[in-house]
Amino acid sequence: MMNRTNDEHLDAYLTGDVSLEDLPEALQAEERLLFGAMAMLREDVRAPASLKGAVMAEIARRPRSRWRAMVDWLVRPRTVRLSPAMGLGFAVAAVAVLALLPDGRLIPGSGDPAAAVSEAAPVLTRFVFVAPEASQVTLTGDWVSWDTEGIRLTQLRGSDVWTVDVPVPPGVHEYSFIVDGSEWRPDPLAGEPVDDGFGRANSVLMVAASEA
Amino acid sequence: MHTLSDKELVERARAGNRGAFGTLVERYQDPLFRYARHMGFGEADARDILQDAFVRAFRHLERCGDPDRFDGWLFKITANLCRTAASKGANREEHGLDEVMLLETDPDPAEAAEAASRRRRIKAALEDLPADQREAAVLFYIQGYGVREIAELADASQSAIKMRLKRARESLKAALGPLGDEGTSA
Repeated sequence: MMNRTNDEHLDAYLTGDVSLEDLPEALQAEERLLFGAMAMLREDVRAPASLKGAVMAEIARRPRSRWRAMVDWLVRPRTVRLSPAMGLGFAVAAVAVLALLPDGRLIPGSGDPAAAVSEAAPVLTRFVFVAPEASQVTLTGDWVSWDTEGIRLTQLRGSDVWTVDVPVPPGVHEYSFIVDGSEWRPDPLAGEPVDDGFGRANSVLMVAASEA
Repeated sequence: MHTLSDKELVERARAGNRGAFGTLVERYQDPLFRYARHMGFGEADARDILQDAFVRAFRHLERCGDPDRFDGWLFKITANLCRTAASKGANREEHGLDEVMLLETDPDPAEAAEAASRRRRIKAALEDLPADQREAAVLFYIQGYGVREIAELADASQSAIKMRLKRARESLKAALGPLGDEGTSA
């Protein structure tokens, strides 16, 4: 049998490949100690009885607007399944629509196709963030699908200023800085942040297409 | 009696049935409240966070892509609100769970005081962890989630969660070591 290090045993245990009983005795004892200690905090704390009433009163006071529900419905992530025949149908329809556009242009009124492509070219955008206490600052936003690894900012030597230049596609984007890998913060240098609906505030950036 | 699934309740709430959403509130308020409390928030702050989370969830129900996983979606909203509140310093409660339990659970004052002292040490060790490690430790050791589920809830990779748990357990072991002699076996 292969000899595993404690770290490998722990890795397999945390992944769920082996059970607690399969761990070496010393590791088992440590885990039991931790579970036992944490169990002391796992008391039967219940939400205050008034919580549900407060939530329902707030919901009744400001019900969901039909407009908000429609916007949310439009942006709801969903899986679309197409049969090969339907896929082919969509492709034929898309080609037909393009063929019907005057002069064979990709976008009505946009001039030649090359110009249409250059309009969508990303624009180098500078982001600046002041964070005296940070050891790492990253940037994330909708144009990178909110990648939580983010784009690292560089700290200007001898200062609390962090900066990075990033190519951003033209359009309106939401973004946020992440301090030390976990603390999401809107950009204080941007305008009023917007509520993302999930408990965080995002900053809004408008990137104009660069001149061709 | 047929208990409605999360999916059925979400669909009814989306159609405007507030009572259906009330059932979802009842279903998840206790585990989420425990989570907020274990993340270091006092009762009033934890209550405010949950109220905000449920109201946001109701307003944005259409964004819940998979109503069968409503619980995970709601947890993410709550966890984000906890992180935001923590960054504003709201998770430093004036009196902890231990004092509340001391008053409520143990009739013997000496035993209660000793138990409260042990809980205080454990709680302090947990609170000293960086927020991402504390979140992983609370979900794994207290709320019983697996690494894969925690990774989904925390929007992180499984390897990142394992690393957080390993670092958390090292810190907790160092802080709690002597407790092993005091009989904390569950």
